[in-house]
Amino acid sequence: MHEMAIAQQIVGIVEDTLRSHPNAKCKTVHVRIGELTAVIPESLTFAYQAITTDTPLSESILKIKSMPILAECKSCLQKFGIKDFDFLCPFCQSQDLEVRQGKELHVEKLELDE
Amino acid sequence: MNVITIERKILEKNEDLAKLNRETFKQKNIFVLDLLSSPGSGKTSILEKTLETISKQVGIAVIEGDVQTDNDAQRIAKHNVPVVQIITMGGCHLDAQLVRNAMDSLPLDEIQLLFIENVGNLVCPAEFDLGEHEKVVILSTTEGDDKPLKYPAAFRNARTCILNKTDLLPHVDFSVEDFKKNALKINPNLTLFEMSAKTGEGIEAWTDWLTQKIKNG
Repeated sequence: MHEMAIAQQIVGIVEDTLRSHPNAKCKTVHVRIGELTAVIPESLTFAYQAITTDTPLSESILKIKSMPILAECKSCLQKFGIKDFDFLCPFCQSQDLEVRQGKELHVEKLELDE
Repeated sequence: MNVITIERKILEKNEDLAKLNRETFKQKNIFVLDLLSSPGSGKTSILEKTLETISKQVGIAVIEGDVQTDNDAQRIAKHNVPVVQIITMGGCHLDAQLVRNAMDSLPLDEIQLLFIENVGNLVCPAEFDLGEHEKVVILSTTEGDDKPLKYPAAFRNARTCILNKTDLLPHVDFSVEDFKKNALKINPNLTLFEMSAKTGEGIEAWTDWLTQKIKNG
């Protein structure tokens, strides 16, 4: 359940940002989570709700954008999505790929009521 | 409604600390491996066999991560190498700060190789950079040859993989060929080792690889 540790880091970043907006109330926290990370969105939502209960963030919602895995083939330079973690170029069958998307663990933006 | 763009990495604090750890390891010329596996796959047994084989030629230290007990540290200490036990009190993974704290208790000037034995868990530790050179994922033959497909992050983030308990192959329903196929499907660049920490079979290829890595700096 490392989603708890990740939720704590998200709350830290939100609190950090709210310091320069002292009268604002945070409504929504937007995060991007790559499908190649070992993070389960449902667990992260649960963890976020659990640690923000009875805090100034208790009414805020965590919105998770799941980022599918995209790769670029280093041999033929084609770009494509990876399904079922099959790291193989569908165009030239090369396994020499660069993952371009899917490793994200980012706080994207906040929606504030000011 | 006011929208504020942030674009910050969620694990930025951990990444900053991992970077600091990495700088310290580089400065002290220490090769560092983070060992990942599910509980009971033989991480500590592999370490014990490794220490038996090369701890006289190479200065080695171990950081042990467990949810509870210092049983593993006691096993390692019998081999007369410096060892620090981190007890996470329920935490499912080690992070860069915990490793940094543990580093304070280790004679970093006297070692060339540091093993960090992560908490037994194939999911959570995959996401946390500790400042290591490589993550090593360990699987045992009693766990099933499809595990790489079930835990892709661990196998994708590792550079090296050990298949342990090969002495049990005649007794379990485990296809080494399927396992290799699955592991290399997730990560074609994995270096694979097969061994039995119990009998010592295959340990030499692993320790040769370790000493070569240390030599190459």
